Amino acid sequence: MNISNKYKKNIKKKILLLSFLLLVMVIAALTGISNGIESFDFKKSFIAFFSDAGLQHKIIWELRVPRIVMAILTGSGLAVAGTVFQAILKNPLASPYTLGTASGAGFGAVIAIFLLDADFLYKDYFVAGSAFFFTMLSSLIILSIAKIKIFTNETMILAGIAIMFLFSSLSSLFQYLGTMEQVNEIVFWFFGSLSKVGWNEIGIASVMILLPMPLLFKWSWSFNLIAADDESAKALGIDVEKVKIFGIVCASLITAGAICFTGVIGFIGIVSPHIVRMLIGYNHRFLLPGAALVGASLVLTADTVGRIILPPQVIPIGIVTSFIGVPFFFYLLMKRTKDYWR
Amino acid sequence: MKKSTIITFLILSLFFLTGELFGEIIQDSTGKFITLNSPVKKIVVLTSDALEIVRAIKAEESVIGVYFEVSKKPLFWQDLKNRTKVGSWREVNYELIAKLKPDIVICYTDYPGRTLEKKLNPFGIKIIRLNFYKLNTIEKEIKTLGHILEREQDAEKLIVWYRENLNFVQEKLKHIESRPSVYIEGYLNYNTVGKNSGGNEMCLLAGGNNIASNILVPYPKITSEWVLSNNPDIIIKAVGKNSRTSADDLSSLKQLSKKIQSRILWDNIEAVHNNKVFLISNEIWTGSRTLIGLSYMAKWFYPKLFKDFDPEKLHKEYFEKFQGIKFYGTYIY
Amino acid sequence: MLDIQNLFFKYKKKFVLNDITLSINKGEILSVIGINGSGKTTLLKSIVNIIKPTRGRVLIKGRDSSKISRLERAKYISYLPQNIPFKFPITVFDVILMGRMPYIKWKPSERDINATSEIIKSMNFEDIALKNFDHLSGGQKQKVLLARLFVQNTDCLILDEPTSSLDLKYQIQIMEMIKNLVKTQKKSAVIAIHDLNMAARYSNKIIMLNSGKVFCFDRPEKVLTKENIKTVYKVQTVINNDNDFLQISPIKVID
Repeated sequence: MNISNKYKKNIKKKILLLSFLLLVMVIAALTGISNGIESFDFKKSFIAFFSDAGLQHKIIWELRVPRIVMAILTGSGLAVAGTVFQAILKNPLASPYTLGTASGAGFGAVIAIFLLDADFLYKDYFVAGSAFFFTMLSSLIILSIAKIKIFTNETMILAGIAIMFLFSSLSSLFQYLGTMEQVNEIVFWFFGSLSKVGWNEIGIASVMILLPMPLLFKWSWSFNLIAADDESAKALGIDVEKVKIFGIVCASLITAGAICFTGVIGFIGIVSPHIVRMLIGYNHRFLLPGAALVGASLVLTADTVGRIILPPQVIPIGIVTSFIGVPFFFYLLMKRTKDYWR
Repeated sequence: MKKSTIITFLILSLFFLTGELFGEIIQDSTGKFITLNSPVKKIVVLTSDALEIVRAIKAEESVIGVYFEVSKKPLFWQDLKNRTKVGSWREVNYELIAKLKPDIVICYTDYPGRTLEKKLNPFGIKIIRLNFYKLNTIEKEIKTLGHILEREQDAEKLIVWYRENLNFVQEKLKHIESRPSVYIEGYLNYNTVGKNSGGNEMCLLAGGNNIASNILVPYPKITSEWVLSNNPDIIIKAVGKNSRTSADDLSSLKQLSKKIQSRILWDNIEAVHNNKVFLISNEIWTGSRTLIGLSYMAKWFYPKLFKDFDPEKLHKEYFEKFQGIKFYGTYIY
Repeated sequence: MLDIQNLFFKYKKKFVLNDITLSINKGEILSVIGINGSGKTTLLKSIVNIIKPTRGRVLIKGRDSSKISRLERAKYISYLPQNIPFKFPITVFDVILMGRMPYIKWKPSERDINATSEIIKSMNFEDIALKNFDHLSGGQKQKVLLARLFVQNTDCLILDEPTSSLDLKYQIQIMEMIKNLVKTQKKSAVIAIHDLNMAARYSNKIIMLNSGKVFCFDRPEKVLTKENIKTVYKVQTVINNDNDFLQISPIKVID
């Protein structure tokens, strides 16, 4: 067989793997829809899903489906953002939160919680908006530092660490000044939860998450090259600085959309790209969609497990993601250490 | 012009009429008006404060869902501990409540967030937000709850009892000349209560002068040195399940008190010197039994003035008359 | 083909490149020599516009390269850096395919894949094409990267030390491949190189840099003289011209 056919066959294999990941995500979503306080089998939930009467139908549509949709949005968003940050910063430990994004968002949420009356009708939106604002602010601060000084990954990561500490301290200060009730709400925000999400929130979040995604997908090849080496990327015609700046802005926007209504959900953004690299390889053309699917599946599974493991308690999603993701990640790491990221 | 006015009037009157006919409008502590469509038969209660009041107005039969922690006080909640647990005061399982189909859910004004309404209103479940922990609103809230659960007479009885006992303390305190200075410590060491806290309000109403009352932070962290320099006449520490000592355990309370008194240099404090270090259980420290805690504090502040007054008797009366259970436990030291 | 006019590059108030002017024709190889820090790599990077020169122009086929878009420029001029660290596992095929980047939007076309396959075939990479790039030896890696440069299919090729730290066999193979390409397809190559013998043997012209300035720019035998090497390298040499090309043997360091 000649080499170009061999290569095409290899590509087909990757597409097949992607379809498999899609299937996994769909199954995870269906499992999430079928399970809760009262669990149905797929057939029964299928009926309840479409017949528009009865409590089951209402529970599915009012309570479960929004969670599922938001889980998919958040999971895929965080995973894509994580992949982009890892490529741009050339750092396997980078995540959507590396540049201080999460602590920025956290601080935004904290001030909104602190300043707004609990009675205020649109409080949740303002908390989200404020989280969004500070996420963008923190990435803009880092980008301008990088722009003024030298645009190296080390400068950006160090600036990110500084921003992270700044915003964490500010959050702690507000927590200290707050009432018991405010502190409780703040702590809960940092746990992450899909419980608060309704259709309006999904609308806003999906714009923030889905709009920048095509642009990032379009830059797959640029990320391939930038992840390896800036200079050869430049020589191959890539406007490296533009891709880096807009990549970071887009990834931050996605991160903000993913966490502003749900709170901080850790681990997904850092681990999903690695899982896909181990399964499908490094080419961002397949890595980005693959990471999105894995991220969504992980959040879906974590949410479902969190809802059914200790009923009627709902274990916050941020806690469960790590419990599910870490062993799986370790398994893959043990299996394929040789060829992995140096 | 004229026609439209008439139509508007008709629509408006229809609106009010239907309101009168099919539903009852009540106002909860957030100031929101809520229309109840049918007599309330089944309720979910998310706070211990509200659950106590529900039982005090003898409406416990209507409770079908409660918060997790009821099972931690089986002696107090008795058969209520076996009701379905739906969540905590700040987070609930929406699906479970939807399945229980209560008429209303009672919770604090601020917690859980407004998501509760968003998620449960589609199921025809109304959220009534009543606190039952602030002295200045508790009477009104009891009245509202009595009205909702059609227990007006029992609610009135509770209100009268509350008012009479509060007045009794206030009456005695009318002629006091100088207030004792008080250091109040929360569950965590060196955490006190500042201006906008329930503890500060209690201390004030009991005739004390909270040394931290001018600190704007509600729960400020302070230093040992600061307490020493303020030299309070009285020290009060709140103990609860968050602290290592359970309020039921007398010997551990004794130890805790000793520990406070033996903090470095604290033997120089007036309160320690005069053996005026008191411990108060979180059950009567703010919350629906604020009145009881307040009575104890008044007696600690003015032992002579309240010589013949026994707060425990009041507590016992509350247990037997309003909670329908035998009095037990140690609540102060 | 490639004209460099009065190029300056300033870094921290010091001129790393100072008034460099040179030109190269079709079918020619130009070697850039000079001691470490003489500005070889900086010159190469300025030509490819990876760094922006402080002053001066680079003309590709008569067009000012700074007025051409990055993507367009990548179709005229390609660059092989000194070392490319691939931190991720990646196949040889994908590494070479990256050379087609200026022509790929999102999905590589049939043409890109065929061009890659052809070069793999011509360089006998079939067995390793779908292997991990990282597992290859240093010499093989460099050959793969050269294949990537070839598949980019530009008129000018800029190579920074393509043979350094390679076995003798690979050094010759790589230089032969470059020479072959330049001769048969009428391309131009600029190569920064340490090895004076290699430079002498493969170049049509040599530019000798000395602290950012052109010390000498001419045919090899004119540049590689005892006197020039003595001044720039501070080394005494013996130069033979027995065969078809120069042989430079270092004798001792001059203080």
